Amino acid sequence: MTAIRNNFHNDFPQLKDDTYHFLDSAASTLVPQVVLDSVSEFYSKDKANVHRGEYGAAVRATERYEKARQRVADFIGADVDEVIFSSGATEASNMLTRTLDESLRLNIGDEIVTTLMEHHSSLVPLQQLAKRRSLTLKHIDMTTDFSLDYDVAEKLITAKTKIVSIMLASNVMGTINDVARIAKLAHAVGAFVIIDATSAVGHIPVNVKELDADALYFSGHKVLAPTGVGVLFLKREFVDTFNSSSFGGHMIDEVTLSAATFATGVTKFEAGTKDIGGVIGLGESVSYLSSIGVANIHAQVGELVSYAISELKKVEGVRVIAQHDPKLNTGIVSFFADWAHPHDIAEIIARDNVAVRAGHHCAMPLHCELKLSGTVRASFHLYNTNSDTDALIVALMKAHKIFN
Amino acid sequence: MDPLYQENILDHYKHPHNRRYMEDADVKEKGHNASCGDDLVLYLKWEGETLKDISFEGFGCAISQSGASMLTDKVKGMTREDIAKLPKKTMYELYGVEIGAQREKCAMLSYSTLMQAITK
Repeated sequence: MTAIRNNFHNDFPQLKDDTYHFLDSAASTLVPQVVLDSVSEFYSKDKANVHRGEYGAAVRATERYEKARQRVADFIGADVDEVIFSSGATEASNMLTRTLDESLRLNIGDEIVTTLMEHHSSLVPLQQLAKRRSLTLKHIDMTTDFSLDYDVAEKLITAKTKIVSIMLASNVMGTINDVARIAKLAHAVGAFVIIDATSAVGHIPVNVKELDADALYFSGHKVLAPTGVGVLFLKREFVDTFNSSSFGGHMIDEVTLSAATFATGVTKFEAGTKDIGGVIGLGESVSYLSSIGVANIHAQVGELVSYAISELKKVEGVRVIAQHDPKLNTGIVSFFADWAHPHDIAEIIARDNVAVRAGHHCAMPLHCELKLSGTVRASFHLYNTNSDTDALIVALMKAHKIFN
Repeated sequence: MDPLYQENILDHYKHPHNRRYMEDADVKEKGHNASCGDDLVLYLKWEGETLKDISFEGFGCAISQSGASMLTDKVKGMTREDIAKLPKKTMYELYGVEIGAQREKCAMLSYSTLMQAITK
């Protein structure tokens, strides 16, 4: 086991101001200096398009881009020819559902099984696919401890199920779902398994083979990388057999005035010029995370989660909406106070430089199930400490004073 | 004293005026602020062109809900024509404080819902 380094916050320039209590990593993480340096080096020395030129910078840009693909592949236990770059999880999800629409044999009445805790970026493209193809969309319920109800999953996944789409971790409650268990049920009936790993990558070790994913996606900006880049993992057999849903430069083989044939491998799914700087930054960020060890980060963040839950529970009228077992939580503690609306709380605590997110966190059906219009979400990463929770509680007590 | 959560805003939030269901409303108008999850329903009762009664139900932040309380107080008894002429800054005058861009949708929820409702 790699030794846990202390003072990770020193690696993050935005945390030079130690009065800043950043508890919004679930929305977007901060970026370490090593990642900024790699992006800056690309733009200042090697800026050129990839796979296009013979000159020095173009060759170096291509090498860096493909090295990032290898690093990402290693980070998630995939092969390099299974990693497709996108602009983020949302584009990956949309691209994937369009590709499934083109490539799977979907018939009226076929079923898609997902969960009621999904992020809108996963849920809404599936809804649109269901609408286009007259499919039935079914949702796995939750138990009272904010976990998936696996008994319901067993009943919902049947011979009619063609696609099963599950988030690896909830972006509201931190719950880590037993996706491998669901994937096993899905594969037993021949369904295609999609895993939204956006809230999990960088927080828990993610291995596409152990999860038995057919497809898996996540955003770079939630794994210490810049915005504008994301990853779609597609299992090799589907890379070969699926059709792309996005067309243009780079992804072709031969083009005539009236028709085109397409490239093979992941190239087929990467039309146009991607965010090269972002991809290079992502390669660096996963390398940084690997050097620390994601399991170590999870263990450290787990302690922060337990402390935050116990401190929040001491505040009058506060209900914690989070998976309480830190081993099963990625680092998210949401809560609701019966004396003020989440947005009012977020506004007041922001005055003390405590950054949280308030609202439905792009999971409206989940909040509907919880019978809450929104929650306040405190989310933790490797650069947080218990002092951030202490600052949150002090600020929260000020809000309590205003409203009571 | 908090710069935003002034006494009048907190008063109207904790003890809202005109917050009730109206069974015989002529117009029922729903307003919704998707980014915050603020919900509002306005009930209007007309007597000719005069707004005889107005009430609201809803759930949301202190800004959106206190705004509905203050605005319904203000427009009760006004004519449709005069209500239509109310500029957006009416809301800021009612709040009495500057409201940042982040909360503008909350601040304007009751106003925009009312402006829809008087066209019906």
